[in-house]
Amino acid sequence: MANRGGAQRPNGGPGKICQFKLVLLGESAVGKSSLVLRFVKGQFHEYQESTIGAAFLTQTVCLEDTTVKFEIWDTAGQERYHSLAPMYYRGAQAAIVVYDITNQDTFGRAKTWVKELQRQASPNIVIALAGNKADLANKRVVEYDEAQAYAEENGLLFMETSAKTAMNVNEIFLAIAKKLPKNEQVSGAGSSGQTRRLVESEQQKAPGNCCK
Amino acid sequence: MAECGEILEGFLCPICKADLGSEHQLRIHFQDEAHKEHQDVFKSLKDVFEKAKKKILKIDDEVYVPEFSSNVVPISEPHSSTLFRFEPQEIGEFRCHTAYFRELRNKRLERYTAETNKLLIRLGKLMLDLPVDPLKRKTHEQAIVPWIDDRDVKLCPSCARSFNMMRRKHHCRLCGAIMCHDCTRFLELSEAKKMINMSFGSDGEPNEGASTSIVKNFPPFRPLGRSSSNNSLNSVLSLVDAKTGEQHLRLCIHCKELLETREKLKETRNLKPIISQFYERLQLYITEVDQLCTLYCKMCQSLNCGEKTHTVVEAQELRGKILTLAGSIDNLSKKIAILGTKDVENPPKGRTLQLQQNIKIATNYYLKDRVIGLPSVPTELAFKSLQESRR
Repeated sequence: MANRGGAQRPNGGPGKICQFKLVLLGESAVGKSSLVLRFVKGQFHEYQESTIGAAFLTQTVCLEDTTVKFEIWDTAGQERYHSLAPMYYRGAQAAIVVYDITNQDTFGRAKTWVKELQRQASPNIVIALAGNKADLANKRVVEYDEAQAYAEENGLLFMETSAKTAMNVNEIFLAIAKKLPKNEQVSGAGSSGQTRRLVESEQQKAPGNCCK
Repeated sequence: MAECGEILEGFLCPICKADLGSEHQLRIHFQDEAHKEHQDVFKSLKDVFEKAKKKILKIDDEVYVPEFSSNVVPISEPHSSTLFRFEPQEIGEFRCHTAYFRELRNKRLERYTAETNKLLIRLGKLMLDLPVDPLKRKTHEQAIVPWIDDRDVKLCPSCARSFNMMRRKHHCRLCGAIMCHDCTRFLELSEAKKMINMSFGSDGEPNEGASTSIVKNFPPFRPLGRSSSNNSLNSVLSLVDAKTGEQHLRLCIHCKELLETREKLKETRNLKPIISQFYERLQLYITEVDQLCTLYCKMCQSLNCGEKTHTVVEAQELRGKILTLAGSIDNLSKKIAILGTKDVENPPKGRTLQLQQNIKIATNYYLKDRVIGLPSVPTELAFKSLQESRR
């Protein structure tokens, strides 16, 4: 983990540091990579190349007294990479399922992703539904209310976002960060990916406990 | 936000974030990694238990002082792995060495086969027109296999002992090397004949005739005596076995071993399992019974018609013969059925046992069908009355 050293420094002060694995899922070309790029780098590329395999990025956000570090796995949306997805959402504590509000099929596909996550991902996973490309509201096909109702039914966070205008991008990540359990994390168990994180956060905490 | 600089993309391993380049590679790698992870967890759990155990048993040593306070175990520390040397390991990577093994084995086998064949060819040449006279025989032997010069060898190459009056030098007739008496073996000529007859099967007869004539012509025992020429006493001595009087060739243990291995191999190849030997005999009996039964039935028929072609005594004798054969068949089938069952270590199992029992059952059916239903021979009295009625 290359960024271990950095996690201690943020201006959050003496507060807790939590690390979460977040995965983005959704049909090809709905804007997963653009969302992440906007969130991580504040950039937007009109012609974002389609992702090959998966992309990995990290971003840290501060929530009151907690520093939340997201390890973001941006998966490739193309059909041929779908079989790789389980590898990436395995052990993830959060997921953003993205669809394109101008494309009904992508909403259908998002629903199947939600179903798959509910069935196969960690039971406590926090799932957010993002209706991306909200800037193209004039071409909208998927109604806000329809998606909102679906999200409520399934206990998902829901926002319409736009990577282009940065609308709701930081908000959706923050909403996820808020919803994630900050202390329960230790007893999470399950996959060892968590155990390793657990070891790390304990190690990071250790100096704080004895020196201060 | 110092750490948001890097963006990795590609076929990344979700665990170690290495780019594997292709989907297939990623899958393989991921399986390995996930596997390792499981082991890590297992290991850390083991570690905790191990420490607890140590604590309880108070066997902590100074070298390793564990802080048994948390379940946080530094899994990446190298020394933790040495602690578990004796734990059963999960199966890791598989590698197939068959091809390598085969390559090595083939080379070796080829060498041995070539060596053995060379010896057999030499043996064949030696045996062909082997002179009876010891002197002539020696020149014949040397013409085929050049002997190593006596002066070149100071120690026996096999046992490394020095040669002296008591331990004399001997030449192997097949490779020409010098060894002491203890490191050489004798090959009886009859034995040698068998070996080359088998290998030169198509040559057939001449070998057989020639070599037997040598053995016949050669006096069975020849008094020891030192010949006038420089040939050593031993080379004469070694021609004939003092006990059996049979001629033999002196070979070094290595050549003898090679030849013997080949003979053994031949034997095992030709050897039939006991069960098939038994079964063949059983079949032999059964065909005999078949023939006798047809004969007997004809006899009975003609007797019952009052014909005079056969006598009652003849028929009764035949019947007795059939019954004896049937008895042997029954015995044999019983033997087959229990074949090897007394072997405690390796009794016949599964299909073998089933086969054995089926043979017995089939034989029983055969006997019932064929022998028990045989028509009876009329008594002498009945036969007479039959004859009269015929008239």
